[in-house]
Amino acid sequence: MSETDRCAVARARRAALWLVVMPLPAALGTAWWHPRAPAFTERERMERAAAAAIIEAQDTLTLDEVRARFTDWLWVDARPAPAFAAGHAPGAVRVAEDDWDAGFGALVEIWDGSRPIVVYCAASGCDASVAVARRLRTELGFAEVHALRGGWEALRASGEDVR
Amino acid sequence: MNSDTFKAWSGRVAGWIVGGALAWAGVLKLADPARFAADIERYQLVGQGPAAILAVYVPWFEIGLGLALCWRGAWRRAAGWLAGILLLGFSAALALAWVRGLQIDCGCFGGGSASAPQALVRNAGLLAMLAWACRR
Repeated sequence: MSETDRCAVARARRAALWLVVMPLPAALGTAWWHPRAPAFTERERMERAAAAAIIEAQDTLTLDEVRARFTDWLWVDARPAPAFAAGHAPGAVRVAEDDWDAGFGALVEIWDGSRPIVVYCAASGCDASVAVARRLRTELGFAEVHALRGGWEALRASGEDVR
Repeated sequence: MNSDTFKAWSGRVAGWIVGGALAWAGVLKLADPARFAADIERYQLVGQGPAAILAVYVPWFEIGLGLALCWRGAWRRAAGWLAGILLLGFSAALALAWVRGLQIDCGCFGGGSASAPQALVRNAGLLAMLAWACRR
């Protein structure tokens, strides 16, 4: 290896070190000041989880609760397109935040303005259904939009007619 | 345009594309680090604490790499290696999630809903462009 090559390698190593180290202060600033910073401590996590549980309890229904409250409802699938294509609830419309306009347009075409809407995503760990349900509630100006607790996994496990 | 000029310019453009994609991914993740932390947790590879640390560090790291890839010389070369490692790491995590049957959004561009196979194909494309951009 020539002297020039050795210098180039040393410069690249220094640059790599800078690229790894430079984000650290910015990351600290993000953790400290960002309004949507993740929870770092167990206590903070528990406080947020308690607050989220209250909101989720207001926004979500189990499949049994859906069946008890409504006789007919429209399914909205908030999962990625390949998962929707592989199987979905009967008559479900795919409305996801990454392709909102197309999904919302399709929903408005078939929704009669009074039918309750139940949104599901992949499983209980996903939050897309709650986000989509809230947005639909706002954009449609319709209160009976709920997220399904347990999502697609709960739906499939229940023996609901899925296809 | 002779062959050397074409290679030099195509390499620069490939670097700009990969750099732009990385920087943009970082900016989108930075808009909602809590969501990115949740995306990381769904891979079931790290706990909540490490996921939170990664969620505030990775976006800035991506932005830095993206800018350095659009630069030249040692910065571009260093960023090329680091971006390659990062993309391979992301791809390994995606492949593991896919193999384990986890139905998760990749979280690559701030919670966009690309599936694991789509994201793997995209990463392969970015890695190929990166290799072209940083070849000697």
